[in-house]
Amino acid sequence: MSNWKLICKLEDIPQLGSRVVHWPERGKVAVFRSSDDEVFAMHDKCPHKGGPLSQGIVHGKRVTCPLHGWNIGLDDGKAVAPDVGGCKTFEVKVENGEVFMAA
Amino acid sequence: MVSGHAYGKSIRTVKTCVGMEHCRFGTQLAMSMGVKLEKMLFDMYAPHKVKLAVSGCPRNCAEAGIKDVGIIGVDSGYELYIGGNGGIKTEVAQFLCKVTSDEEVMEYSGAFLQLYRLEGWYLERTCHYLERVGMDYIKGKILEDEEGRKALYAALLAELKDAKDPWATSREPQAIKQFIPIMVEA
Ligand code: SF4
Ligand code: FES
Repeated sequence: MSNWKLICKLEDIPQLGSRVVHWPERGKVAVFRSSDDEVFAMHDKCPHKGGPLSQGIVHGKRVTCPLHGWNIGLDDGKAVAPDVGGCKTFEVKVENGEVFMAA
Repeated sequence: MVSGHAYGKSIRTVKTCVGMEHCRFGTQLAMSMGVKLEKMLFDMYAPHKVKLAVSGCPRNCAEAGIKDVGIIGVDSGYELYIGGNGGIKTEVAQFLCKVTSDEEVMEYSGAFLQLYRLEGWYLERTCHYLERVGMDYIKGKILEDEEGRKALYAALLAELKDAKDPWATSREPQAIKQFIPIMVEA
């Protein structure tokens, strides 16, 4: 994976919030920013019933789905037990205050 | 009225009847009095929720008799009632005084609410506060001590004067931007 796509500036994503990225082959991807400025990306689709994770509450390295409160790990995209399932995650990196996603 | 005022320990929307504006019985402009009070008390937090109502005449369609501050229009001005409650245990508001102008309504009710804000315990509604301190005490502070009343009122206004509408900032371009999707070219 050496092909990185510039998404936005880090400051364009609210802390403990997210932005939605429309990516032609991937559909909607949620890009999250944690309180210590780590950035994560995954399909904006909860493994439970497809809730918009980008509108969820970010805490630590997790996001809570706004629909029924599942917790999804931001780094692995997996639902936190007792719930099962997962979202596809995408590689992201921050360089000089800019966010890139692996193509 | 901002959304938080609907559930915070804060001023709630001021209820009014249609008043002299639209009602043949009306003796006072209840709606405009209500708007004035609501604007004056914008962003006011308190030990517990604070409800006000203004009725244009003693028929009292706005049910001012069960509000923390109830205002009832009469021919010669307004009657002020305090410490009413419409909750689990209904409490009839007690008569505080009669005033003649809108400005006085604001001053007297503002002073009473400021006193409550200073002395009320957390989660103590005005009816419980009133029961604890007694009506005579309130009358002493609000009716008999003119200077004290004016000072309380001035303090309330000073505390609320810089109140900002928290939802106004959410309309700024910088805030809206976070909801706009980022398009990635193929
Ligand atoms: S309280 Fe009086 S003025 Fe207001 S609507 Fe009722 S009758 Fe009319
Ligand atoms: S859709 Fe996310 S918890 Fe149900």
